[in-house]
Amino acid sequence: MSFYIALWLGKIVNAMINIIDKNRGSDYTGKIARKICPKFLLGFKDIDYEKVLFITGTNGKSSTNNLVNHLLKSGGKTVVSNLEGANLMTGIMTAFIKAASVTGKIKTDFFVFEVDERYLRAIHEQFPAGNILVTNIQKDQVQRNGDPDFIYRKLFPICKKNVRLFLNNDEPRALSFSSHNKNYVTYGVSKHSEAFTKDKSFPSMPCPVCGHSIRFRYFNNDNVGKFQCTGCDYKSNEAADYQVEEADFDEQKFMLKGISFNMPYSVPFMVYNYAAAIAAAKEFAGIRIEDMVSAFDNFQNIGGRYEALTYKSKTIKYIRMKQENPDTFQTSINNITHDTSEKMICLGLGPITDITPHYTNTFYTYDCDLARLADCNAEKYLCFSEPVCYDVTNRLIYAGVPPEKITTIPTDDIDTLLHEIDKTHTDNIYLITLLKTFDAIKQKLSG
Amino acid sequence: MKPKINIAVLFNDIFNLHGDRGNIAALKRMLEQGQVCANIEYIDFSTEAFDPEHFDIIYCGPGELSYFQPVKNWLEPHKNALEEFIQKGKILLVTGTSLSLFGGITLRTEGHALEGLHIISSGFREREYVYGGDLYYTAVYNHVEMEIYGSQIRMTDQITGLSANEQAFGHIIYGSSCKGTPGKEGVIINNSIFTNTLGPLLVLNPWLTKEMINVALKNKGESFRIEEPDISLEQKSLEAKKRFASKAYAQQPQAL
Repeated sequence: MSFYIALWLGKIVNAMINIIDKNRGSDYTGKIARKICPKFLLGFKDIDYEKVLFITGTNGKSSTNNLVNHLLKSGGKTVVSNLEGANLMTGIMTAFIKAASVTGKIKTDFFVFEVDERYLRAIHEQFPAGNILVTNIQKDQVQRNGDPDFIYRKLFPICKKNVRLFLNNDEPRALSFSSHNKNYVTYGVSKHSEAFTKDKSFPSMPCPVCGHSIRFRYFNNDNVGKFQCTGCDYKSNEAADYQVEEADFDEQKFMLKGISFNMPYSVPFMVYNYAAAIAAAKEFAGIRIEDMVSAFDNFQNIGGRYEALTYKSKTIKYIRMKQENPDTFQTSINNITHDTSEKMICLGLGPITDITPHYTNTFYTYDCDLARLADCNAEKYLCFSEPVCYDVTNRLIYAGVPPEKITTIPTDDIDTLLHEIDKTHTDNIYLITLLKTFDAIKQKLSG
Repeated sequence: MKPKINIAVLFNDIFNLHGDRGNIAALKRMLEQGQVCANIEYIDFSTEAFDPEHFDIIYCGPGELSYFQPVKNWLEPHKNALEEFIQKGKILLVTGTSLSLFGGITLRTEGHALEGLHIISSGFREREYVYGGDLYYTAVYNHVEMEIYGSQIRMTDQITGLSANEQAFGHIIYGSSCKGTPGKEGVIINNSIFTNTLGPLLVLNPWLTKEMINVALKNKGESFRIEEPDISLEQKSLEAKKRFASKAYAQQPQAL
């Protein structure tokens, strides 16, 4: 009975939220339902779990979830999902409340959910998806995730179970689940024009099989690329089951199984999401690859990482960063340095304030190769945000940036920041900072 | 002829979780600015002849507990040489989780025990939940009192106290300490430091870097001392972070 009370109350509250603001409440009703019925998801009957896909991992969950949804819907399928990005238990409960009838029935072809990697086990206990797609397992939010192995151990009990896995062929930790569960499909990307290498002073990672060091032949994304263990025969397959080839970021095209696709977003980190989504749409939903081509022409990612603002004659190109995540920071830096025109680079990394105690971690920047920042035609560098701006300035100096080109302002004050931007000759401004700081700038500029 | 300092970096490829490579960059920069040669060697499973005696400074950054066993097996034959290295007053710097590697027993959450090298006496217990935060403490190194500011990501708790020949490296002003050593941070034996302060500790605290280099030069019999480096940026950073810590403590004392 508690299931129905939770469902009905959730639906009433949802209806009220919809009257106030349809964009709110991505997990609110799930919170209510969970209080009333902690095992709420178990109450939904007649679910075919082979039609359920969970997308988990460190980076790329949301984009892959968006694209899988888009491919399935473009293929005429109905999907229940959490596209609002609420990827904890309560977000998924909310999606169920919205999709279910008052009798608790859900009519849909497929369920596709982005699931936070730390909560995969708990969610899978209530809703045992038959398919799990792992994007990658990387350093991220170390204050709560510690190290990648901490997350690996959370995923392992589920990934070794009787589920079908979709695994990144070029990411050692994710691919290693294939040693424990033979029901898997791989996806990957051939070496592309923006692949890079790093010198020996940069870390690699331990082999998930034997603990020796992994050597990458190249990186397509940070810590993702063709790899081989130095201590055992563990390595990426020469080609994945679904392999993106000839990724051309200028022409914005790629090939997969001999079929040409347009790239809706021509940035390296998205290419793995394309491969993953195509693999899932084909294997999980039975959509023919050639039928997916047109869907790539009109895909719009929700909540993307890039946004541009006009400020007087200047264009401020904002790149949203995930704090404590060296891989996305490296990707952001690579994106800036690929622009060879004159530019100003603003870095407002800020302290970490997600959970207590707040702290001043900027050490993930030392995992990144910032040397190319020193030689990327930057007129000026601006480091802002007390209390970490001096550490970020120092990081740039360690990367070889001339100190006289760096301005350091220990504040998040938007007027001061804009005043510094005003002083530059170039109109090409790159900004890496927290979303809340960017929102404050946006609000200021919109009057 | 310029003096030369030999630095070994243990398992840089896999024990380098939190930007710890910054420590080597800091040593290299200060040595080169001080007209001292920095010879850096990366030691890993492929190294055929590792002789600690050859080095002036050995650094081991934090690694993932699950991968300690093969590294411990590799280091085990060098345990006596590493102990001798410490006894001679040379510098072994161990940070973060790798305290467990050089310590006694670490109890894993899965129930089994991980045996360390027993170079320090501390025992550890793996945490169910990660603890991360800043650490601000006073320390004395090479007879110089200094303030250290850094961050910690604790995957384990030190659950035993220090032995008679060990001293705490720091006395905490702000931040959380381990249950076994309340109010204290890390271990120092002669000139070797074992600390939870991880990441680019030597970048953020160049006063410690400078004294480490002075100790290394003195150990080599060099009368040379490096010139006073320009640390104005790091001093501003320290002051800004002290203000931050003070505010954070006022708002969330229960978090520590």
